[in-house]
Amino acid sequence: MHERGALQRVLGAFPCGDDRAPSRGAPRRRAASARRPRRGRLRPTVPEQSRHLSSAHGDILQSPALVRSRSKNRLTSGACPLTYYRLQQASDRGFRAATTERPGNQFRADTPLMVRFRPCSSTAGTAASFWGAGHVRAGRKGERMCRFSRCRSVARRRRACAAAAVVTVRQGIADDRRGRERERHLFIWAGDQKRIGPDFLAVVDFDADSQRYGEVIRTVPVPGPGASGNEPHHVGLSSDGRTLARRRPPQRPQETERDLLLRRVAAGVAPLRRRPADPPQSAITDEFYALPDGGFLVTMMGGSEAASSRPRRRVRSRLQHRRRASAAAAGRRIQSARDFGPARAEPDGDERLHLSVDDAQRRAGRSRSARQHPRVVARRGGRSSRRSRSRTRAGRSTCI
Amino acid sequence: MHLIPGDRKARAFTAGMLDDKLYLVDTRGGRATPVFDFTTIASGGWPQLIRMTRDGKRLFITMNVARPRRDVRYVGSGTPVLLSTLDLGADAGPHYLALTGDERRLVVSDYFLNEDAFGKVHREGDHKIHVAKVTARSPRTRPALQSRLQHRVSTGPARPHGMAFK
Repeated sequence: MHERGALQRVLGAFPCGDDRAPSRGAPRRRAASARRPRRGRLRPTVPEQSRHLSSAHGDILQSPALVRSRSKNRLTSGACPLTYYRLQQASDRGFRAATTERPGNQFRADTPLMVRFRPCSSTAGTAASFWGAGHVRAGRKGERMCRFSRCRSVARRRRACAAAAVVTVRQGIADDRRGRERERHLFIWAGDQKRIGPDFLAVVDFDADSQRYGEVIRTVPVPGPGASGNEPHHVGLSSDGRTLARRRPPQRPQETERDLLLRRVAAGVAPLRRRPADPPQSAITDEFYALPDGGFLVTMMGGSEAASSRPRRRVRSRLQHRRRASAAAAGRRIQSARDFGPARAEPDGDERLHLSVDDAQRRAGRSRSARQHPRVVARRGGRSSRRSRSRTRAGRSTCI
Repeated sequence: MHLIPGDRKARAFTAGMLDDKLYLVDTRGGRATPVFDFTTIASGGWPQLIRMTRDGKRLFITMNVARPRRDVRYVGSGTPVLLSTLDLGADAGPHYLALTGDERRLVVSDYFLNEDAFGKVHREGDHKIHVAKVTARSPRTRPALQSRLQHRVSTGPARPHGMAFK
């Protein structure tokens, strides 16, 4: 009972079973005894962040398996033997480990524990971290941490620091590899300064370890008449890296409304085919946001007439690579408030919240109050599924 | 406009292009609060595009007119603190910026918009692509990449704007 009470204090004072959280006095006595570390035992500590835990998380923490393991000062439930084994192993080798549990995560049997190891010696300075059980997360606000182990032997500390350094280097190399794999080429959408030559897309070697780092590998000019003087603007690369979307701003009266171009990118070097998309009643493409399903969320700063005050839109493009005829098809429109030119798009992770900010340049000729106060439209709605499209249309827009 | 990654309140930052303020947008309450004043360093800088690290602790913002690019550090309480500025040169007018996936490099295109006699905005920069190495304290530039880009564009300095990585 007494031990469970201390456990509840550690876990954020959540009631466990029929027991209630103890008063403030009892845990303090327990905490005084807990400050005496014992070799091979975990020493739970209570960070200040624990009070930020939501009550919903308490239900997760009341899992019997977890409570049982916590009462034994073990950091994992019985369903994570590998994690616990590595924790114990690291403890014996003189590491101080910290576990973090994200409040949003469900602590189930198959949930690996996020573990971070640090050398016990405070002189190590930089923390060595590596994947303990396949997941490493830094401690964040709202997360609970339990530290354990201590190391008295200087030799053991040195060995721990050396091992930590090796692990750090390996982790750094792995990070570098991942970074190099991600960005080897830099695409730059640019135009000719004198507006004589065609606008072009430059592909730059962006591999930091390459001898040609920073050099332009290839430039792909815009073909056909009217290829120059288009004032290139933003570009967007799809999440699969196969399609590059860019804008050709039709700010001149003689230009057409067809201003959203999608290009297939082959082998990471050269864009190939070009397929224009013509979102209806929209013009002046500005910002692209690559969606996880392969499309883009595009802000259109103009209506059907570029300079009119008709409601501007954000366009959700839909890419279907397998169907040739519809490789670039403009999808649904998300209408914003009237007289609003969305220039920046920022959806959240599940696209239930779309934020757009008004284009200050277009508002330059309006009233003084309109110029001085930026407008933000927050729109709440669903995402790409058919079921949620209607919700998006009926979503609520809020001018901030 | 940039949502703060991992923020439970779904807050966002946006920059007042003409009033030189950085706003913290409460998307749930429908309020925007100025939390940083860019005039403390330079007024009329046109702060525009924002990028943030995935941990939501650092915010990068370009200013078209003012010379330095502002690097603002975001503190969890919602009060940004200026961490450092990066001076890109006398003729700089940085606009578009992008962070690499490992968040160690920050690429800035130093050109905004100029359509000669058309339109109201005539803001050119130095027509360079700057690559800043992002360190724990402050970003540093890598000037080698700027010069190479300059030499390879045959018709002189180009008008670089949008960028993407692969």
